[in-house]
Amino acid sequence: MTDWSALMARPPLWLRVALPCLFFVLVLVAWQVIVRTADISPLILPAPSAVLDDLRQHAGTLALSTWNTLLITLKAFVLGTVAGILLAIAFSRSRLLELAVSPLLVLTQVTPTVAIAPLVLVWVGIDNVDSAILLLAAIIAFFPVTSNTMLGLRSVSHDLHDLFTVRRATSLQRLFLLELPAALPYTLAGARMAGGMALVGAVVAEFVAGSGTDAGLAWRISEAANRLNTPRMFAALFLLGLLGVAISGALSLLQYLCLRRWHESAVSRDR
Amino acid sequence: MAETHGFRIEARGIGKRFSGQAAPTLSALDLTIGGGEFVSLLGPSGCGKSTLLRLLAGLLRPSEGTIRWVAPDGSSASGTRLPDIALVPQEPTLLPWKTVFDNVSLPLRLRGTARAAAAPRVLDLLRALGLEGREKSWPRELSGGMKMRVSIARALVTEPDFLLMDEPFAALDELTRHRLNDDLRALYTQRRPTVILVTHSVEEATFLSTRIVALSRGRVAWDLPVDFGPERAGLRDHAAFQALRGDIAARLRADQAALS
Ligand SMILES: Nc1ncnc2c1ncn2[C@@H]1O[C@H](COP(=O)(O)OP(=O)(O)O)[C@@H](O)[C@H]1O
Ligand SMILES: [Mg+2]
Repeated sequence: MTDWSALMARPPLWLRVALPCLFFVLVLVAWQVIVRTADISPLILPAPSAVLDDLRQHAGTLALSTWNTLLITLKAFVLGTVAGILLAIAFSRSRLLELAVSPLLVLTQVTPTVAIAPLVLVWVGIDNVDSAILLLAAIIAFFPVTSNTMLGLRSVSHDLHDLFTVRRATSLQRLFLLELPAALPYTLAGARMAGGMALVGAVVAEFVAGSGTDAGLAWRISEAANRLNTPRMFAALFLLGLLGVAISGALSLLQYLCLRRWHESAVSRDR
Repeated sequence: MAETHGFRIEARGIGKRFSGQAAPTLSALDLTIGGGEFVSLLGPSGCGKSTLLRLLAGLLRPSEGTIRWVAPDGSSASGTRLPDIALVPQEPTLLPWKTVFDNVSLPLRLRGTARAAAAPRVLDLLRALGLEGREKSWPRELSGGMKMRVSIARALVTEPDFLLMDEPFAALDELTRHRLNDDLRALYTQRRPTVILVTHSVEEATFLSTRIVALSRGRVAWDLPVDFGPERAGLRDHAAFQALRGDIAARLRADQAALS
């Protein structure tokens, strides 16, 4: 069985994809069989086939909602990441600013989004729901980027700082040629978290704020819940899960592409 | 020294006490170095060699005394007229996200030299240091000795007036160290920068230097010229070399004995 244990020790990519897919299919089959044999009401637990039917019949609406949620998540992610990096840079330049402001940022993180949503809605405008959702999602997303980037900016070795000092580098050169590249692995790890949190933020915000002109998946779910349309809820949930996996996968890929040539975390070693 | 070209650095009455230290690391230290000398700093661990080097490099401020750069015409140098200094730390700290080429060209890039304009100089140096064909390698792909070569190439790329090195070869095996000593000696005779080298190896100091300065009790214990002339290939086997080496080792032992 040494072949098998070697395969498990360093599973190739196809195996990493195939195994969870296979397991998911098994779960679906078991689910289908149980629902059919136990005759469970579709209001409580619809069979996977029923969910699939609903997905097919309302493919257009659901695809549009998926697209809307994706769009707002991406916007929030970009907004949150850029703001997060800028904030980390500002904090690393000014200790005073960091000491004064960063404890308050923790406040935005420990206060549940659901709780601040109505306030943001009032500020941004009830007729501006999309912006409110975007802002809420970004508020959730920026924090891991800021805290990770700050850690990264601080982790630059003293010897490298000395090198830049002796060579009389300007502070901009130090920032762009030393500190930001050194922080990149940290920033990317933060961005991966931010991707997931932007999606959570977009969904939670839409639940609370309702929908603007373009309904997203959260809106579809609450709409289906109001009409006791359980298969539709599952269909929307399934799409939401897919979206989450896709975002996380894309960010992992970005991380790998940026770091593969030089960073220990991304370099595979012969053993 | 016969030639007095270039800058010199004058340290007068230097004292350095780190916060929380009972006795100062350096006290009332006087030292003038310049004009293309190759000075080796010797002394027991913890006697303040690295501290002195970092003071000279401007990375630390002295608690007492002054450090002054003096231009060839005898005037104090400041601002844009400061000499070009390069530092080789004990660990070859390369930027892991840059290739060998980009690491070596970094000091030139910091001055605004374009990548293409830097290329001939960088490739020349890589060849001189036995790193030909390695310009596209990443630091993690290099052995310790190769990383140190890259670090030295990076220091030399701007043709610095002052080259400060802190035990650069301490972590290398003897064969590699000899080879890098030979390379360093060759580069030194070609360009004649002023070199200040911290080392634990009496042999290395004797082979490379034109002057050896020993530290003890936070000041200069003794200061000795080394008159072997510029051509030093095969010098390690000569009786005169062995004799001086033995003499220096004996002086260092005497310093140690005086401490306890
Ligand atoms: N940044 C620092 N902070 C506090 N003490 C230091 C610092 N750097 C060096 N020292 C102290 O100064 C003394 C001399 O250190 P160092 O210059 O590194 O010696 P050497 O290089 O000769 O071995 C040591 O006792 C060390 O503990
Ligand atoms: Mg030292």
